[in-house]
Formats: sequence, structure tokens, C-alpha cells
Amino acid sequence: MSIAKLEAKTRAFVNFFAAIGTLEKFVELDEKAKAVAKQQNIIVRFNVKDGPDGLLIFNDGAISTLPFDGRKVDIHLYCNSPEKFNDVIDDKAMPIPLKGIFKTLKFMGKPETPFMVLTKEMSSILRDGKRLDGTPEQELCTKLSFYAMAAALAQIGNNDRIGKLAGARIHDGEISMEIKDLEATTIIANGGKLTTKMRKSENPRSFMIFDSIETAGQLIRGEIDAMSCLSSGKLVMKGFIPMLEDLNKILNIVPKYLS
Amino acid sequence: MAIEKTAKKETYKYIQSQKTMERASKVVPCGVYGHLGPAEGCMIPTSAYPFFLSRAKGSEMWDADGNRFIDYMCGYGPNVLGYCDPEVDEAANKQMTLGNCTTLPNTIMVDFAELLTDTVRKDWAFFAKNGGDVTQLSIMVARAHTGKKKIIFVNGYYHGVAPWTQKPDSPGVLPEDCRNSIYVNFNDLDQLTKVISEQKDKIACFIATPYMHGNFKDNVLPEDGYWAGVRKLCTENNIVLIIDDIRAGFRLNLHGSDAHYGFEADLICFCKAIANGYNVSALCGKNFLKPSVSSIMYTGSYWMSAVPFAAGLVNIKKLIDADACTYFKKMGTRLTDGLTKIAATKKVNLSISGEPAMFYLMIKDDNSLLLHQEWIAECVKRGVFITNHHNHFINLSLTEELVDETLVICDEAMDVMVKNHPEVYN
Repeated sequence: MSIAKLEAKTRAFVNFFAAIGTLEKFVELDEKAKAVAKQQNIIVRFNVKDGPDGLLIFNDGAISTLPFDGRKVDIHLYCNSPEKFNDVIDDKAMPIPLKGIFKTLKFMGKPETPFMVLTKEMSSILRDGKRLDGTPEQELCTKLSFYAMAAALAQIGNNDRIGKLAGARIHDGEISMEIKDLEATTIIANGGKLTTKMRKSENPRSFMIFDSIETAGQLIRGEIDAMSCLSSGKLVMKGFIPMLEDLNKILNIVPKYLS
Repeated sequence: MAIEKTAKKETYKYIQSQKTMERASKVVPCGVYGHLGPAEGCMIPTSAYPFFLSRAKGSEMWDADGNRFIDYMCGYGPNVLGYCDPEVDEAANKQMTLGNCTTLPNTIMVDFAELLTDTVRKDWAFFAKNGGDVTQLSIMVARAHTGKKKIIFVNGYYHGVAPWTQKPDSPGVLPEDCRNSIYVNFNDLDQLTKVISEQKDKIACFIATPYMHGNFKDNVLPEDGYWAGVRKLCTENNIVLIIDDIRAGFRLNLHGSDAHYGFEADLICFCKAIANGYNVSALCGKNFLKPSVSSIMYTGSYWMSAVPFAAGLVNIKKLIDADACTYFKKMGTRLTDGLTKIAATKKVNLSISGEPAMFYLMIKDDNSLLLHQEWIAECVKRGVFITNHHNHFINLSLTEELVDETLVICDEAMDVMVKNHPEVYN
């Protein structure tokens, strides 16, 4: 596979599991978003040839994304390439509905559908929240960016040409990524494959802990570097460090896909 | 033990160190970059460690806050006689008055080359400054001599930080930098035989440390017959056998670690302990490689500076006179035997591996190493400077009294760790 094709494939996985996937935390962290999500209960399959095949589930105000597991869906959307799916995410194309054509219109056919409202609103927060120093919007932006970063790490570690080298080396076990006393997510390594669970690890083998939302925000926005934060104690790494050393190599690649 | 066990009321604080780190972070990448810095995974948690020293002497050092430590890192190896050894420093100071970095090399370079080659039983010595300078040169010599490209590495290796020593996912490294790398497992002659049979016309060299003194895992000594087998395979297939003795050199055997394990390397790289902290490294080799190394344009502004040669001359003579490696083994054994006993009484599964002169520690009661990191942190905060996941070093100034004091502190620190974890140690 050419480098361009591989990058498009990786971007498609990141777009589904990190960009769309972060809706899960958006509706948890924002009451208004939760109310919007509550308007629709639906199971949608995004099926991308040579790319992700996943489920997006709206259920009573909660949202989740997961790999397609064979269950019955309300809508089955198909894209014939990762590039096409990436265009869908960039609002430049529509997927092909293989099932549920009318439900598709209600799901993403108009700007006021819950899915479209939520994705637009979250994009706006992620884009504009960075600049709103010290505001709740910036805090929400940081939290969502934190989860998007964690979700992207696994996809990049599984798919990117360079990311795969580091991902395959990560020892089995759970890496706990935390904003101290605030947010937590888990990267799970198993047999060289990575998954992200947007919940605190119950059995972590290694830890990457930001001391505050401010530090997490500054790091995510690229205003400070991780190594300096380690020196100053703003970022704590402990446990089985080789897992984190390899994870950091993937972390270096995240901005390429999540900028 | 010579020193009674007494509990310390307070552990160390690092106010000046942290203030200095704040200043450093503004003007130096990472504050302190590289292996001396807290970002490299050997100082966990960073809050348990000082970042800056005010002075060091013998086996002890005092940080920016005045806290005293018994130091088992020895500058990560260079401190082999003891910090600020008076005879070495006197020779260096005297040479400084005669000239250091000069237009032509001082004759003392030849004196040092003669002593070094005689000591390590090689035919020539090429001087540079850091370990990476000479591992890089060793690869170039191997390629120049054989006309072949590929390098065999042993998994878990460390040979410096140049791109060819890294993995292609490291920042700043290209996949092309690693295209000629082959990776094999230590102590696996069958695998090495297979790799060589498949690619012998492409393989320029085999580079390895004399034993595996890597991080985050038990250190591994060579099995019987391993090095003899490697030597034979290299000789039969026109592959240059390079020993990276930068860390272990002058700690196991003054003739070189190849001599220690009963074989002869074609090229051997020295640095850390060669001049007791004065900056010089050396690639030493056999005569058949002298034309190749001579053909390579390889130089640096300070590589023939005279002061480190003066220091190195005294350093090596003192190591020989003191039968230093025997002493390192004896003191390393005294310390590790003591630690083993302490751990056993508390039912802590402490693994001690590697050579006694460069012992490696790891508590294996959890797979996250958190218990180990907690114990080490408690040791450091009480005045024993050891790191979480790196081998340690014995130096010639370390006394039995200091070792025994170390054991008292490590014992107390382990008590603290054990008491904090009744769920593990009940």
C-alpha cells in the first residue's frame, strides 16, 4: 500500500474512532449536548472499504462507537474507500446508504439532525475553545481534545506506517492516561494491537498523569513540551515505562491526524 | 554491619533543585536533557530526585540543597576511581598549564595510546570524545574493511544516539537510517547462524555489549560458548566483531570485557571509565583493521586535547595498581548480598542481575514495577542515589562503611515500601 493510501486509511480510522468517537465524552461532559443526543435512539453502521467498519450508537442520550459486531442496525452506510469516508467527515461527500435510506436522511440529511448538530458543535468547541483562555469552553475543549488524542493514539498505533512500529512493540497491559482527579482514559495493548477505553483503568501497568487541566491544555495545544513537563513534575510517568516510551512515539504523530 | 539501624525522621527535600530546574527549563531543552535528566525514565517519580549537584567527592555527592548521597550511578560510569581523585586531578591540572587544545597534539597522546593499547591488548587506539563517536567509527571501519553494509544488533542494545542506532519510529530518525539493521537475540547462536547464512555477503559487522546490561529487565550474562561461537561465525564470514565496552570497560577486566569473557574482539569501544570523568573515548582495534581506520576522514575539534590524556594515564595506572576490577566485584558482591538478605527477610522478590560491579535491581512483586519504583524513591530520599531502571556502578573509592550505610538506608526504605502495601506483603 502506498504511503498516501496508508495515511488515508489511518485518517479514516482516526476520524471514526477519535473524531466521531469523542462524541461519547461530549454528551457526558455537556448537558446541552446530552439533551440533543437524547432526541434520537439509533444504531448506525459506518462500513468503509479498506477502512473502519464500526457502529455509532445513540441510546437515551449516551453515545458510543465500537467495531461492528454483527448486530442488527438501523442504518448501514457504506464508503468505497477511506478517502471517501474522510470526505464525508469533511462534509464534502455523502456515504451510500445500504440500509435505512429514510432514516439516513433523519440522521444526517439535514443540519438540524442530532448527529449533525453535535458534530458541528463539538468541532466548534475543539476549534475555538483553544483560544478562550481560562473559560469553561476552553476546559471542555481540553477535555475533549484529551479523549480524542487517546482514541487517536490507538488507531495511529494500529495503522500508521511509523506508528505501527511503536504500537506493535508496546507490552501487553493497560496504560492509564489521566488529568489528575478529573478525567481518565485507558490505552489497552494486547498482542501488538491497541484499543482505547474512555474510562479509568482498573488495572494499569503504567501511568501518564497530567497534574492539571491547564497542563493538559498547554501540552495538547503545543504550548509546552512533554519532556519539560516531566522535568518540572507537571507530567508524571510511572509504572512500566517502556510502554510509555513507545506510546510517546505514537503521540508525536497524533498532530498529523488530529490537527 | 558497622552502622546501627536508625530511622531518619525526615526525608530529603529539593527546593533549590526544583528552583534551578524552573530556570533551566526556560533555556535548556527538557531542563536537563538526555540520560542525566529526569525525562529519561530512570528517575521515577521525579519528585524523589534532586536535579542538580553542588559538589561531589569520592563516592559521595551533595545536591543543590546540600543533601548528601552515596552515589551508585558514578556519572553513569565515568567515576571509576572516585570523584575528584587528587592524583588524576593533579595530572590534569599540570597538563592544563602546559597546553590542552593545541595546534599539534601533545606527546602525551602517544604515551596514553601506548598505555591503553598495552592494557587492553589491542594494536591501535583512535581517540574521540564520547561513546557515540567511537561506536559510529567502528561501523565505518567495518564497512570500509569489508565493503559490506549491514549491521547485526542484539535486541535490547544501546550503542548511542546516532540515527543508525535508533529505531525508525524515533523522532528525527528516518526509516532509511535503519535499513541496514538486522536484529538478533542475545545468547542465540542458532538464530545468528541462520541470519549470517542468509545474508553473509551483506553483513559488515556484529556489534554488541559484552553482556546485556539493558534497562527494565534482568541483565543477562553470556552463556558458556556464546562468545566463542560468535567469534567463530564472524571470522568465518568476514564479519567484523565489535564490542561496545563503553559501559562495562574497566569495570569487569582491565584488559577489556572481551578478555573477561575469553574471546577477542576485532574492535572495542571505550569511553566512560577511561579517564575518571575527563572527556575522552577510544576505539581500539587489531592490526588488520588499521589500514581501514586510517583511510577514514574522522575528526573533531577537541579529540586530541591533552588534559584528558594526562588524566587517563594516571587513571589507568591507578586501576592497575589497585587491581580495581577485583575490588569492584568484591564491593558489588558485599552490597548485593546484603540487599538480597534484606529483601528475603521481608519476603520481597528482589532480583539482582548482571555483574556485581554493575549490578541491576528489580523488585518483581508486580508487573507494573510500581513497588520497585517506590522502594528506590524511598532510598533516594534517604541518601542513596540509585535509579529505577539502569544498572549501577561501583567505584574504587567506595568503602565497606559506605556500603554498610547504604544497606541500612535501603533496609529502612524497603520497610516503608512494604508497610505501604499490606495488600502485597502481609
